[in-house]
Amino acid sequence: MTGVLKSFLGIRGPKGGGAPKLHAEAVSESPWQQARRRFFAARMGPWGLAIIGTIFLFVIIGSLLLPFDFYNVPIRDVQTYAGRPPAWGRPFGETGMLQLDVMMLVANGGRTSLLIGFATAIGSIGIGTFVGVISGFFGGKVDTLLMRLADIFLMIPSLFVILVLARIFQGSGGGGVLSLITVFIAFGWMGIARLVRGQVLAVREMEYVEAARALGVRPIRIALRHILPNAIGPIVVSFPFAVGGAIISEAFISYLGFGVSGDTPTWGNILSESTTFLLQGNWWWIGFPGLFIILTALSINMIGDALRAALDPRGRK
Amino acid sequence: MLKYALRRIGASILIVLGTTVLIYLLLLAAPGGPAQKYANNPKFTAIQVQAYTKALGLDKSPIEQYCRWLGACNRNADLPGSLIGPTGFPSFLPTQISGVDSGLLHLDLGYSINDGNPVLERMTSALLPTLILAILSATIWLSVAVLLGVVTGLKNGGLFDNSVSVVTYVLYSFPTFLLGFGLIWIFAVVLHLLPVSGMTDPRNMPAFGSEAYWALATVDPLKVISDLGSHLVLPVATLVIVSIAGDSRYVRQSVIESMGMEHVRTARSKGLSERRINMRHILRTGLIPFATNLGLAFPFLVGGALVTETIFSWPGIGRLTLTAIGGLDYPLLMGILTLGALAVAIGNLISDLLYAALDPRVRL
Repeated sequence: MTGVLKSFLGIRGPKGGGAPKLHAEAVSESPWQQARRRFFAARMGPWGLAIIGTIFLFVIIGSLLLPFDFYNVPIRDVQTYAGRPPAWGRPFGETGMLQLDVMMLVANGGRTSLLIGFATAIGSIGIGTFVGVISGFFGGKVDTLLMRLADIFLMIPSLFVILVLARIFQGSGGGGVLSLITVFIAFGWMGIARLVRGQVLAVREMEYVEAARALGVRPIRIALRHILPNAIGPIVVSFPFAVGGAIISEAFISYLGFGVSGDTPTWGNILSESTTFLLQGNWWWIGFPGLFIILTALSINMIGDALRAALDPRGRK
Repeated sequence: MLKYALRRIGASILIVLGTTVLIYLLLLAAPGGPAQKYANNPKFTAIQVQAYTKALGLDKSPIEQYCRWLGACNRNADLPGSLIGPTGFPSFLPTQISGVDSGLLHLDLGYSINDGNPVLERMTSALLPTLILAILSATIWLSVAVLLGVVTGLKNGGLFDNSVSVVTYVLYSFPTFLLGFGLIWIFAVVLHLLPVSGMTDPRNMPAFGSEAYWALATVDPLKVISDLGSHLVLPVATLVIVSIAGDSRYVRQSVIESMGMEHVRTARSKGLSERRINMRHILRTGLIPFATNLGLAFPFLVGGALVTETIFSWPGIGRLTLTAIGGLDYPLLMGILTLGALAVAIGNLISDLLYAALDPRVRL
């Protein structure tokens, strides 16, 4: 039992422990090769990848086979207000009222939710990295200005403001995926900017950078080719967490009705009326989309933690 | 130390002011606006919308609008003149001196544009439910998280530690609103043990905060407490479960780190008992990072748990926020967001000062 748990948490080595080799051959490997070996040695990384891969497959195949049509609601042969429970032919059951197929909603909603998650992560990490590199590399007044700006953005209770902005955009006819992504990015860049700035500051004064400067390499090239690659670890690690955070925030905001409007299903807005039916015993409407949200968050956290362990230069394995 | 504290307090005030400017700009720059709500209403003529705009001062420049909200401008005059109050002193001075009684600096946050009540009044009436929920759950979650983190940290690698780690890892990934609905489903819908939501039973109890409620509380306190208690169980459980997962992992990690420190090895080589080493040497250093993190829980006490309050229809600050957002109540939103920024600033201040006070390596 303990062994299973340990291997799940990646405490044990790759192949069931055993005595360490005394005369291990000195194999040289690049930092990326080493990171990849460590990532796959702990059980969490591959498990996370397997779960998220299955979810991706389900969402892609499902949304192709069961397309969502907002204007065309099929009429069921048996009509009930609360929807019918899972059975053969409708493995996830039906929603209340319109009796939509929950599996169809989950597959189509997942497409939008995953899109929002990845787009937000790419955008906020891109901007955060840019700000961090500029701030750390140039220092001085630019640095002070950018970091105070980040302080103020961090001071705003972000969920509150995201809700306000999502509501305002919705009122002005947006209500779309794009405006939600924009708001998420606007309030998601600060953490990574601080992190990257710290890394850049640590690397900037190192001898190899000085050598590059002495050789007359242009500042932009130094920043991109010499400094950024050494700050890549934290950037890679923060990516999965940003994806997971955006998916969960979207789910909550759209569940409240302030996010993406109903003609584009997401994992959040397909739940928006499910809770009144939960009280009437319809657990599958919220249960299956909820399970997908939880599994996505869990697998993404697993990947993130495995990446962190794999990319940590202080780790010995 | 005192000098450092004073400097940090000064910086915090400036940052809070900067934040309010930013929020004000965001709300101004966003499409729509207070007057826009009535623009599409066929019963409102253009003249009425204009009068409304003028009455709210929306025709003024953004700088003047913010200045009035802050209370540095007098609302009876236009910009350069309005900086001076009716008594001839600058408007930002206290009411007794300047004669100005509106704006944040004079503890007036304006009126809700949806129901006309003072913003401050609505916020204070929502504060009590939030504090009840937040203080209760924070007490439980912090003590359980420390206990769990210390036990799993000291005995790390054991069966108990590994089981707890897996459970907290899964719970850590749980979105709060799904956990809340899961608990409602199990304990309220299936088992019929606890109420679904709200703060009082609407069938045989007066609403929380009403005069009848306080009257009943003095006559029959047991009934009031048991009713409130049964409504508290699920929201508190939700908050506790969600927060314990992260915090106990954090405590565990820092306990493990401090076990490997050199002063612990010295203590062991001196021949101290394990118990003494654990209590005096490992826990003292191991809990410092967590203690300094306590300040970060402060915004939660005031701002309320938006998600949890929404799910359980808890009439606190979190739900007030959603009401304000849904109705686009700009003055109320400004008030709540300012309170939020203030709470974050105070929380950061507490945690910085605690860090300076607790960690002997930090010299000021």
